[in-house]
Amino acid sequence: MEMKKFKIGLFIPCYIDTFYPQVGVATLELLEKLGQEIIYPPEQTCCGQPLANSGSESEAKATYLNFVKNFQDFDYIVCPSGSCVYHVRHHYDIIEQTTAVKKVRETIFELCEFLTDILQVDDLKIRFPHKVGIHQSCHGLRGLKLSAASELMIQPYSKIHRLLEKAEGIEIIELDRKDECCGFGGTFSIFEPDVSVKMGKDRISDHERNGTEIITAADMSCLMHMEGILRRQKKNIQVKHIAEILNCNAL
Amino acid sequence: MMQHARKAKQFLADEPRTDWHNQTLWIVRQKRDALAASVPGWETLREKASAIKEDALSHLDTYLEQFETEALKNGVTVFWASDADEFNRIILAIIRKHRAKNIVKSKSMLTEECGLNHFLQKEGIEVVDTDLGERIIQFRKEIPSHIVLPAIHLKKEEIGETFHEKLGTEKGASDPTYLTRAARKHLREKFLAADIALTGVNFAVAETGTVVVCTNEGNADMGVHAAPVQVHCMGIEKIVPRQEDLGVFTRLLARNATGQAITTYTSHYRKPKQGGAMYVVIVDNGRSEYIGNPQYMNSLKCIRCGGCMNTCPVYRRTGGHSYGYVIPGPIGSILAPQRNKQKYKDLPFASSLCGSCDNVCPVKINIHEQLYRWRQELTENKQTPFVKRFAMKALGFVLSGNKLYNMAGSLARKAVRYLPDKLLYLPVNAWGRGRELPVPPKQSFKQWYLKNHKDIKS
Amino acid sequence: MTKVDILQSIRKRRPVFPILSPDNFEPLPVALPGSLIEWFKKSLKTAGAEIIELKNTELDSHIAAAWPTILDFTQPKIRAEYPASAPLDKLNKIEHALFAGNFGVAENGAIWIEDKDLPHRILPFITQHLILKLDAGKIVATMQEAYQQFKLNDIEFGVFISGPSKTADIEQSLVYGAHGAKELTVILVTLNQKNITHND
Repeated sequence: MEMKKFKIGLFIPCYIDTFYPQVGVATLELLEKLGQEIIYPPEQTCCGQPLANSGSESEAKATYLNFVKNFQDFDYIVCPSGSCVYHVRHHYDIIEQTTAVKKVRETIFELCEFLTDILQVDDLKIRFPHKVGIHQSCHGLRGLKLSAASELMIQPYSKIHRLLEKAEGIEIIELDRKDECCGFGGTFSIFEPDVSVKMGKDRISDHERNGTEIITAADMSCLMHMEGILRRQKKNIQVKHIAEILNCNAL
Repeated sequence: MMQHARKAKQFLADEPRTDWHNQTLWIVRQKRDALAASVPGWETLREKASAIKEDALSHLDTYLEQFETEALKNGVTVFWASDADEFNRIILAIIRKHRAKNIVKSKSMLTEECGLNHFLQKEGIEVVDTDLGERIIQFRKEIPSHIVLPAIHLKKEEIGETFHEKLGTEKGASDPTYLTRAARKHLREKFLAADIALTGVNFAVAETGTVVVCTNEGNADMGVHAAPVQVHCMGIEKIVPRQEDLGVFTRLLARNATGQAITTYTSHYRKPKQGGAMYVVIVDNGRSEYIGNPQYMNSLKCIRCGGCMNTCPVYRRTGGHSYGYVIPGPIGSILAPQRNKQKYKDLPFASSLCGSCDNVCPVKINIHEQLYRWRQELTENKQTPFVKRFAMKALGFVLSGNKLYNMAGSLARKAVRYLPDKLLYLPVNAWGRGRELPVPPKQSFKQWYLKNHKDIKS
Repeated sequence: MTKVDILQSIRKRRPVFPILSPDNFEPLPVALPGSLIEWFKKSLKTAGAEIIELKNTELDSHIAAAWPTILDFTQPKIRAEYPASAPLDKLNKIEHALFAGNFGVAENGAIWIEDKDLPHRILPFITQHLILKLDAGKIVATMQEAYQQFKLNDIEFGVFISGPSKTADIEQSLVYGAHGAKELTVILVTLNQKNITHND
């Protein structure tokens, strides 16, 4: 398989860095297996979304600038979190649009779309004999258009399905509500805890009802929320970031 | 805790009922999907509708004047009201002029917004709401919990109880057909005795001076044609420039609202009936302030289909009354702060920003982006709690540089690892209500990378 | 001078950002599931209406047999009996009323009625059972075409009617007969000409 080789800046969002290092490792290993040159700028912190979604966009400007400083020198920036990518692309419009800022906003990609759109690969030669339920994280779905949202009357597609479908032995579970929000919503999960938890519970019931063993997503934040509920309710369903599945065996 | 969060908690306390509410509205969303899918070029139709509204709003002064000119030619009396109070007084003056006693009203969110019923009540005038859902909540002294399905929060047993009390239906009877028949009989008497019929307006056509009202029940027409005097109340944003524009909106409205191809009745009123009088009252009430505002003007495109409520995962699980504004749900949460920033400051935060509303909206209002913008504006104006703003300032400082960030991450992992559950899950930890915290790893990704990966590479 | 204030408030703020012209759109595609008539019938059924198909020669006898007390408002004599000044109590007693529809819309089963056919505007709403007859050749595909069939400036009151009056305000249970007609029957009339076949 001849594949273009790029110099990639690896962006590991704050909560993945802090609580889910294995997702960062899987992303890194997967991209290296695909022959990419990966550099992790160690001075990186966060995209600033937690501040901005809480209404404190102006307090996030320094964080935005720190991000740009760290990531301006790559062909592409790849990140295993649709929400953070969407934030950089869409909301970094409040800082001065220098060449570096523009470049960062244009070259940042979520892992799945980087694989399908830039590397143009969807068969990763993996074996994953499990019943997998796909959680379509909202910012990836509607912001990055990783899949066709159910509200839109357009030709259905899903970059996430494309990557998983080819895994040997996998069974992708059909859900009753294929792309409803899990209720994480960043600081929404703290300021509206009751409805946030209820939304998560309902998403989990949908997976449970339809026989999911493992819930996966292109966003770890939704999975963190649902995992928290699953563990509180002592349910047998696991969560796994899509990078962990895609990296599960050697190519 | 925020106002919406507090009321949401109360609503959610009855989980089976929450599930029922959620599922009932989800079925409406599914019906909408099926009907939208049946229209080839649905997405183009939305774009066209949006463009028509943008055109209307950006030349609104011209179109409003054109509408008035045409309406006057048609023998219609036109009034203008700057705010709710002026609107209410105009309606009162019309009622007094015609010495009217019996007033019937079909659905109008504008009259709800202006508090017309309450105002007239204080003047000793009773208005009978004739939409079945609205009549139910009027009996119960509530406000609508949905703009298209006003009584969607109620169970048929509760409605049966209300009708037993107010209309003398059999105690314990809750069959929807039986209750609807009772309301039909009761309201027909009101229609036949009506002196004045008030209606809202779905569309006002500038080039002909026609107002268009859409209902399924036929209550607008029963009132308008029975009463000698008809009064149509419209916000300034209800204007569409041309007759042909109606062809676009009538394809979208009912499909997106309730999953019907069209409402049963789409009525076009242009001239008063023989021997009757027709009024149109055009109301601003703060709308014109947002004309030309690049961030919020889009909200004025709304055609009040309620589609954003049906799709909103938060609305479906918290009910319309949790919002505390006359228009609940996503669209209400961007309209409410236009009316009163202080009072409705928490509504833009009552959303997970999932964006489903934007995709459903038939006129392509960027609702979730406006929610995001309102969050910024309300914070800038210091209308959000000090503690929250302070915390964000501190967090902003931590995230802006590497050192503090690393330390904070390490502290967080240690806290979750070593603090006893009793301390970790104190009520102050809103996350811990219903959710476990993540299991802390031994090291962060950054620590792993610096320790392993760099060495391996070099 | 509230009007001047409002208009000035709008003028002061009129947007300067570019606005997409609504004219820049191609005509929308129209799907034709079978013929227009079949599509129209399907839409009407969904809307809760009954449909009868009759040849023009069968019309009178069928109506007389089905609804002996019907008021046929296509007849000048009946129209004269129920003028705009007719007392509501009299109108409220009507059980069956017949009107001619001007044209139908296939995508939603709506039928256009206008005031020239209505001696009193309340008639199609106040009757318990509404019967509309419609020339089967007068069906357009969508609402966008429908609004090209007449000029709003020529009519004082007009209404699209699709199905009987309905409500779902109680637990989303569909009930026909909220305030308007409890039933709608649409008579689709075809001309009784033997020679209308494609083989000729």
